[in-house]
Amino acid sequence: MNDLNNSIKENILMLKELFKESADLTIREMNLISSNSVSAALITIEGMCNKEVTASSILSPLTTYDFKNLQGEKVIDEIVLSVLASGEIIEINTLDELISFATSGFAVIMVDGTTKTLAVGAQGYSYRSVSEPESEVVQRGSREGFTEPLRVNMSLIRRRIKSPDLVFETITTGKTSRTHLMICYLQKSVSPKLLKKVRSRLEKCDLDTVFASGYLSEYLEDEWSKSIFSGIGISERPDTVCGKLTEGRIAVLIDGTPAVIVVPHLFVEEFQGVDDYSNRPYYAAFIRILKYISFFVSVFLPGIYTALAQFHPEYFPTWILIKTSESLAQTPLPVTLEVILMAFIYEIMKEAGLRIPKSLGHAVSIVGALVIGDSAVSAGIISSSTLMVVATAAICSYVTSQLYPPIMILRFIYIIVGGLLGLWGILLTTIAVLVNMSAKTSLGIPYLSSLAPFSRNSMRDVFIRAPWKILSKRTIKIQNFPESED
Amino acid sequence: MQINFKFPSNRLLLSLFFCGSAVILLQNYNISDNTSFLFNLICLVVGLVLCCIVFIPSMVLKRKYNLDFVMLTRRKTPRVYYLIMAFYSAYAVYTAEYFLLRYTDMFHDKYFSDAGVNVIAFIMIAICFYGACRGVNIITRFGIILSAFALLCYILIFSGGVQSLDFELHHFDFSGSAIGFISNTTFFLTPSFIAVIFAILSGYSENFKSRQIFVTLISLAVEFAAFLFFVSFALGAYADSQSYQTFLMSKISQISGLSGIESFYFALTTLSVFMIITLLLCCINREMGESKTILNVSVFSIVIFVLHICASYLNSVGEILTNPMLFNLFNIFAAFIIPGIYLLVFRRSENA
Repeated sequence: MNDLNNSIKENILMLKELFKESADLTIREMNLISSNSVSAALITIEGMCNKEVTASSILSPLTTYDFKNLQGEKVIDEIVLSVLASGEIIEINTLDELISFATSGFAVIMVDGTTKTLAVGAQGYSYRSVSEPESEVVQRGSREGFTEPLRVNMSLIRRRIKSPDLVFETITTGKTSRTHLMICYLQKSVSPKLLKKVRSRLEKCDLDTVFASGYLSEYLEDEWSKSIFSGIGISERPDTVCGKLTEGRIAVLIDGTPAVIVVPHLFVEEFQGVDDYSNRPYYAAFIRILKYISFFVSVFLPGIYTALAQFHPEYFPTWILIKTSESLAQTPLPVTLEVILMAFIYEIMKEAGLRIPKSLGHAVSIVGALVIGDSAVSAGIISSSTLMVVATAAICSYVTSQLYPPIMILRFIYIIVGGLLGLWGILLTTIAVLVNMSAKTSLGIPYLSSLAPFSRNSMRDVFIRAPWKILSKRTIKIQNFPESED
Repeated sequence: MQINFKFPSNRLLLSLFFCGSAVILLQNYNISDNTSFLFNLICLVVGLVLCCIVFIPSMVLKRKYNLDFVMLTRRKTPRVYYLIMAFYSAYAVYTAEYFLLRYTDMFHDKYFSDAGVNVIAFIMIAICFYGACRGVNIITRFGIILSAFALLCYILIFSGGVQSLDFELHHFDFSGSAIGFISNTTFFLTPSFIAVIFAILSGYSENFKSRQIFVTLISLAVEFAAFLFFVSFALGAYADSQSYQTFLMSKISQISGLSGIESFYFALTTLSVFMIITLLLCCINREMGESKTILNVSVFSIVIFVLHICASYLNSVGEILTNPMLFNLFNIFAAFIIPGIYLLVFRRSENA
């Protein structure tokens, strides 16, 4: 940590050297009105500060105010007390702090003869406005989603929880990016052990740059419980995050990304949505069960289809068996290869669809629908039953979109295992996956909590959503789940 | 590693219930032919009462002194600790082999005759190895999920079999020979091996109540009785001399014309055998001291596999390993006699 120098010239030289004469570093040197001719400098990063605010609220008062015979530190004190009207003035003493504030959009005022320096809030960079997150659309409820600047995201949470219990703690991470993080929690709800764990894991992050939540997820995961399922929750909705905070969870907001990390994260949460709590309980329960069924269909259907077609065709009802056999007999590839190929083509189309310019989207849809969907079947390359199975699994996987990565991986594993070992292989793989999931923890809380270990109290919000009158009787804190390390 | 929490003992007993289920699911020529349902029911009750007696030493140890058998041996006889544990490790290998051989045989006979029994055994042991490395707590958590699936399987198997029921009056007779009675009772004594697993693994559990054991054994009795009932009345005389009668029972089950319920039977059997072998490997790991879990489990997994290869090539080895009388004798020794002696000595020293 480099201390600042008393000499303003030295400090400016140091800064210029550090920034290597970077084009966006703006240093405005000036002489203050004073009988002692005190020199000062205003340091800003172009594009990060609002130019109008800087000129009218900082530069203008500084250059017109008469500091009489004040010198050094007293000039700084006078600036804080009488010159500037800004509400956000922070005193800094080190070069690291100076760089951190300047690169965050603060205007930094240095005065000759003192190491005391001021960072004045004048942020004015452009950012995306608050809008509905595309990945978490709801029918009822708020249309607000997190955006990129940290401060805006903080305000979105604060507006929903107007309690002094809500705490935001700042951490800076990334050796080069110096990204600001906010650990957010409710003082009365959170477990101190859990909080300590989150802090220490974030502090251990030794990355050079942190640009997205995914960078930190791996640092927050429990190291010894490797799994394809993630114990880290991600949300772009302030109402979702606030709901989880009340249950004792901890949110990590990252500057520059709308995706907020919420920990600990359990498997059953993947099936809970904001709409469940706005809809009537019976409808919410129906939707929940639908989500569970969709999850199982998306994971198992192609694998089971492969296993049945390859090893146990007698399990198909006769009319399906006839149709399936007919269509499979007309195709040149073995059923396992056919299903893998189809699933693979679907993944390619999905990836292409995500990244392709919108203007070309229609062309891809036509190619996908006509060439793969229709022509491949009529040319006898792919059977219609395979196409239908893969398409059904693909649609079902989007019902629980957060689980898409593990679903996709498991789907391929089950297709291969089903093709090699039949239903028995699928069963054994399921055993291995379930044992792995049972062993997984998210910051010490079993990932399958509510189900295994079984918690009768929390079952009211797992397969069904109990009425609010029952839910509101007692909020179950995450640290009170059975077998949590707290 | 994850902190080893003490988990509720009812979870351990739930897992042991699934282990016990394998006995009826894999039954092959064990219940005497031409005996009535009521006669078999009496044998079942007597067999499970004997099982209950076999449970007494480990139950008293846990209930009264909050000790498991491994801790007691280490405390009371540190000099012969390794000898006793060697016997229990051999017992665990034998029990694992007893069920694995039956399972691979059933798989080969009824499900997929092209598959090599040793390949089936290898894959099965590999999955069990993975499970055992994760520990007892995790396996009992998995047991909760298994219970939901098992419930679905039982509903499908039994409700699918209802339409095939044909009540023949001779099944309500108390007819049966003395030899048949001994043979059947011996078969229903087989679940006593769960008492050994309980004696060794109960140290991981807490909140134990004696009634949990009774509930487990009564649940097993109900399950066995349901299978016996369906085998007697749905299969009738066809069941006589048929191998794997419970499999046949699931094969004739149909729901609204949809067949293939035997695949649920296979799933249930596979899960039960997985549970048995995994818990036995966990027992071995506990007996060996838990400091090198992966090494302990892998060595004994290899031993089980090698033994399986021997049994598949040498009939005499296979016959010894699947001999029910020998197995029951082993069970009584491991679950009742040795822990009973330890308990008596321990109580005497406590009183002194």
